[in-house]
Amino acid sequence: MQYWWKILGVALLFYAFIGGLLMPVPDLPILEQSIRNLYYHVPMWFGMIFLLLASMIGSIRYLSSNNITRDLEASGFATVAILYGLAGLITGMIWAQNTWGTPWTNDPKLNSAAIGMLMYLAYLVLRGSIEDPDKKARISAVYNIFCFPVFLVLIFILPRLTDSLHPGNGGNPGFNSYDLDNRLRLVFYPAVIGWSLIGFWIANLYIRFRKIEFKKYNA
Amino acid sequence: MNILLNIWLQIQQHTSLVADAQAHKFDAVVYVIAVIFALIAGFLLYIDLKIRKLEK
Repeated sequence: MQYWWKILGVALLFYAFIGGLLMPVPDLPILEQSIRNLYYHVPMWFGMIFLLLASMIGSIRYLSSNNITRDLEASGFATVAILYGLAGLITGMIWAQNTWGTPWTNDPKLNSAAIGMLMYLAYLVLRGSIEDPDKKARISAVYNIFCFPVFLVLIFILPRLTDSLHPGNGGNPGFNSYDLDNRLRLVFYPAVIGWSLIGFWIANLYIRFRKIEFKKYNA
Repeated sequence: MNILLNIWLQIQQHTSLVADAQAHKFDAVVYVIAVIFALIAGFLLYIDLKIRKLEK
């Protein structure tokens, strides 16, 4: 019974890989066939946000219970979220190269995303720099709880306040307004669920492994 | 005129063959990606079962 969501994640992502590359897409100027990256770049960032939310909840639960396994959960979710974020950045750069002509521009959305990623990389550095497990868990939990809302402001609010090339920001319309016949949604929504579930599965494996390791060295 | 028409038809046939070959090549790439993903999913399942064994 505990495998159903893992199987669902694999099936949805399998559908997103094949359907995303073979199913018809709207014929849009400039974007053309690169619109198919919508099934990979955007769902990875959705998955990352869900994982970061889970990480923040783990940190809150650690601070309210002082249970070290909650801290392992928080750091595990954050680690996989960073991997998803890096994959999202790489797919975004490939997309930008094909549509804007350059992999990186001085765009508020892109710069904010990079700052956000660095904030979470700093979280891992902070954890690595403290020896005492309790102190490490407490300080990094507080940092993580503050990091998440700042990250949301950086990638969702600030880019909307200025001019931006990125769709859905700075007065630009999002993809909803382009996809009049709902063809993109047929693959996009399953891709979001699939990428998120696979992200949680990877995090789940990493956390369980860390818990076994923790038990072994603290028995 | 006939010669020109013949050349035109040959070009058309050639381009459609090239398009067909490209489409088949693209399909093959998609299936290779699908197989790679299936292998990754299988690997995740393998690790999951291994960890389950360690947890017992």
